[in-house]
Amino acid sequence: MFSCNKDLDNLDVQSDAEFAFPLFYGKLDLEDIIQRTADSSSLKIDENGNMTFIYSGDLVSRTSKEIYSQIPPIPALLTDTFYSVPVKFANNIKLRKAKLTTGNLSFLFKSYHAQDVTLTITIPELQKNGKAYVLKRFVNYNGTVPVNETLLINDIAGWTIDTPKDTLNIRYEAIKADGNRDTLSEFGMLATNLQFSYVEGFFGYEVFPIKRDTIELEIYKNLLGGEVNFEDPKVTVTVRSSFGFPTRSQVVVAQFRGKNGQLFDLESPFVTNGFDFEYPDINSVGTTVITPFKFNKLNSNIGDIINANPIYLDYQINAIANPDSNTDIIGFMTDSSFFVVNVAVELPMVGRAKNFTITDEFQVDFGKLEDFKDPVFKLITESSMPIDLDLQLYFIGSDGNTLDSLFNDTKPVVKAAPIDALGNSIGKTKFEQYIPISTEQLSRIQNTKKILVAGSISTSNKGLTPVTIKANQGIEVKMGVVTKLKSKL
Amino acid sequence: MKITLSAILLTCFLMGNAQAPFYQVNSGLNAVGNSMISDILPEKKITLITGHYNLSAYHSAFSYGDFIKSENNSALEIDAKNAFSQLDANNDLWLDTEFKTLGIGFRLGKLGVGFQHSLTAFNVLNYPKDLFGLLFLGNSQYIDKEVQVGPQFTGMAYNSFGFGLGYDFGKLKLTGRFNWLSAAAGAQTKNNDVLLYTNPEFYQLRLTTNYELNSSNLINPDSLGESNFISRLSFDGLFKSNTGYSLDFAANYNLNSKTSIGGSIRGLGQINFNTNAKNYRSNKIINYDGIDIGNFITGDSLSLASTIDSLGDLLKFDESNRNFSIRLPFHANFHAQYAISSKLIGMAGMQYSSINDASFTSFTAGISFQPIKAIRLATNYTYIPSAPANIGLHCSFRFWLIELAGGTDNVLAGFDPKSTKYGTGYLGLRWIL
Repeated sequence: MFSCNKDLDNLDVQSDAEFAFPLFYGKLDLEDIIQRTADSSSLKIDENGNMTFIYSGDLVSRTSKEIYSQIPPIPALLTDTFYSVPVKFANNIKLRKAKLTTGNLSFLFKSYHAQDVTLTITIPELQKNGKAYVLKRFVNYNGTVPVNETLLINDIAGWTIDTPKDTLNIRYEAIKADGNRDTLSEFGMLATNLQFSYVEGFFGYEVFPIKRDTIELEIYKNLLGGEVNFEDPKVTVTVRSSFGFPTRSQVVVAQFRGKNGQLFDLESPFVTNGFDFEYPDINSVGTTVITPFKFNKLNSNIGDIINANPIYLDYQINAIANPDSNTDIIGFMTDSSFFVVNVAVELPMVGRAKNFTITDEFQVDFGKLEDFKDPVFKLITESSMPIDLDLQLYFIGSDGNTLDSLFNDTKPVVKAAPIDALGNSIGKTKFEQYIPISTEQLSRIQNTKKILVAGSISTSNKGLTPVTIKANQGIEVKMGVVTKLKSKL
Repeated sequence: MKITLSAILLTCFLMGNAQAPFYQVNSGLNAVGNSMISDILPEKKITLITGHYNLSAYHSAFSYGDFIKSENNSALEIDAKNAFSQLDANNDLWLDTEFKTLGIGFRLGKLGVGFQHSLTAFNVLNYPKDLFGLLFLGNSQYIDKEVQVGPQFTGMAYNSFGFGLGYDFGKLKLTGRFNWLSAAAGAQTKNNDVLLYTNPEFYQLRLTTNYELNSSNLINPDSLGESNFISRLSFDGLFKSNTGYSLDFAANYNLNSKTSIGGSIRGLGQINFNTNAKNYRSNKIINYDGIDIGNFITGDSLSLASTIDSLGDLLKFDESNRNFSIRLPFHANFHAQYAISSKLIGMAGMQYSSINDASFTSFTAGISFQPIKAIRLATNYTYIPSAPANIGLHCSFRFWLIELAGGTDNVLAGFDPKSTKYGTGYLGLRWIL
């Protein structure tokens, strides 16, 4: 019945009303920030909140099947009824004990006796259940001499070779049909296909090649400039070994590469001479021993290299078995023995940064920003991190062009928290910033599709003081705005 | 911003066309005539009213022109600072209209009997200065201050069926009327505490509310900010289930042949609302700190639109459906007149109206001149504390059995309606049989 003749839904009300309201707030732990701006999978945090970037190479393993697939063949030519075969192989490999999973024995001989012969072969060092290996055979005389005989014993699996004196004794007894003991001629033996579940001995000096690999240092992915100095960078080589003999590293290559192609060789006595891997003793068969070796700034030039901000590490580290060729060291291995080598670059977050520049971008939806008129944003940061952060935002349009920037130049938005003499954060620093945006600027950035953030990070005292960055440190961010509003909000 | 234009809408709601002047409460010469007595105790045997429209508007602070700097069909330019400077701590906006469709009065000797039907709509808004400041100037001026922004409102639209009795004691005339009321719509606030605090840190908002609004077919708080915040009103159908009553009384006493005094009280009653009765209540502390940026960090995207939207969700009411009642606004009038000559009469009077915390008081004085029997002219001056300059003009013309009367208590509103805080107008046709 009554109505107003103005359509308020479409009425444009021109007002100078100025509203103040909060936009967002939140506490960002450093862990969150790093997850957003860096390779979070590389960040390790201990129970005390200490953070370390760990960039790890591939796990490289070698197994006994790859290294020693089987015991070399053991040949013997018996010149008498009792004969000791020295069990020594090439490369000074000595066999003390082996539990066989497969194996073939072959005997061949000639009998010049014009009568039947009963043959008994005994090998005391080849045992099963405490009993020596005994083979009996009847050699039939068929009217002609010599009688050529070849005995093929295909399966000695489950037998154990036990040669404490590095010899294998073979004895045979040939009893003729008339009851007299005699000898046989050209008596030979060959043990082949000797695979084992356990073997004990000296396995010789052997170089085991390990695959070459590279490690990318993601922390520098977004680095545009500046300096970052880590106080205690490390290259760790972690070896897990269940081989029971000495092994030593052989660094073939350990070279860092800079962004511009410059090369930095890792230099250390341990690169030159190698370092020994720990291994289980003979009473610890089946256990795995870990060798955590670190190239650090005390034993190498890693400090200098890392602080040159390299982008990846190129490395190949082989393993040398029995590097000193000490045949007195009796080792062991099983058919499941292995070693695994892992190389990593560890960067504990203790150090200093100066104008360490990062960049990142994220999508935005400014939505009703068009309804703002001459807004003044108020940004409050309260940081427990001992770093200063200067920031610039670039507003990017749909076609990728830069529409505008937030500031004329990079401006500080976070101030470093106070620190103690050791560089540990001991409080918070609050910093307020008013950011006016003109209507003209607002119009320019209205169609922003993403924001490119360029940040410059410096640790306390303009990057001159080493500080400790911990996961529980963070920053509280709050933003509000005072703005006039256009009508249709 | 459109929310805040609801106050303007209220004007539109009653006046049909916002271009009409701010109008009038029955405060001036129209009231002096004390029409209720003549309606029930006719001068002759019968008086018949076949249409009488009465309209009044009053704003205790600024005029339309003080507020609206310029306008066209698609845009309004407002001068909120000027309007704000003219506000008191609390301000009243009265909008009142009555249309008597039919009235008849019989005189049976000294006894008078009357019946009347009318359509009445009134809205009274009592609002704190800071509500206007918040809506039209923004809250930036209130940073680190807590301000009361809860308005009081009463509004109703109803049919009135009045049955009146009067008696002429000679010098004294007494009339009373019982009105059966049937309302199409109504709304009233009960508690009106809405405190807004804007934290200076990063402008976090804290709203402390103890606010209650009862509404039947009039206001939809859930649509705050939308054009259907105020319902379109319809008087369709005379008899609604929202019913009530009221009593009016009027008296006139002739002190001597030249001097008389009189008075009236009206609006003693209430209407009970049970049709589409809704109760909106907010009694809580609401803190708004913006959006948790943690979502932005993990979500890889920042939406400013969602920030603004969540701000709009701040004020949500708990809703129930209990019946409620609204008392009518109370009106009291006192007047006196003195016959200077047979053609010239001097008059004076006062008017008082109140509802909730809103009240209205006016004083008036004027002269009536009757050059010939068929014509009567009058002028008056009405004093209202916040709108002191009101000159009234009135005229009645009697031809045969018909009397046509019209006038205003503020003729200036007719010439410059946008500069007026107070205005009245009436036009009616009466048969004197």
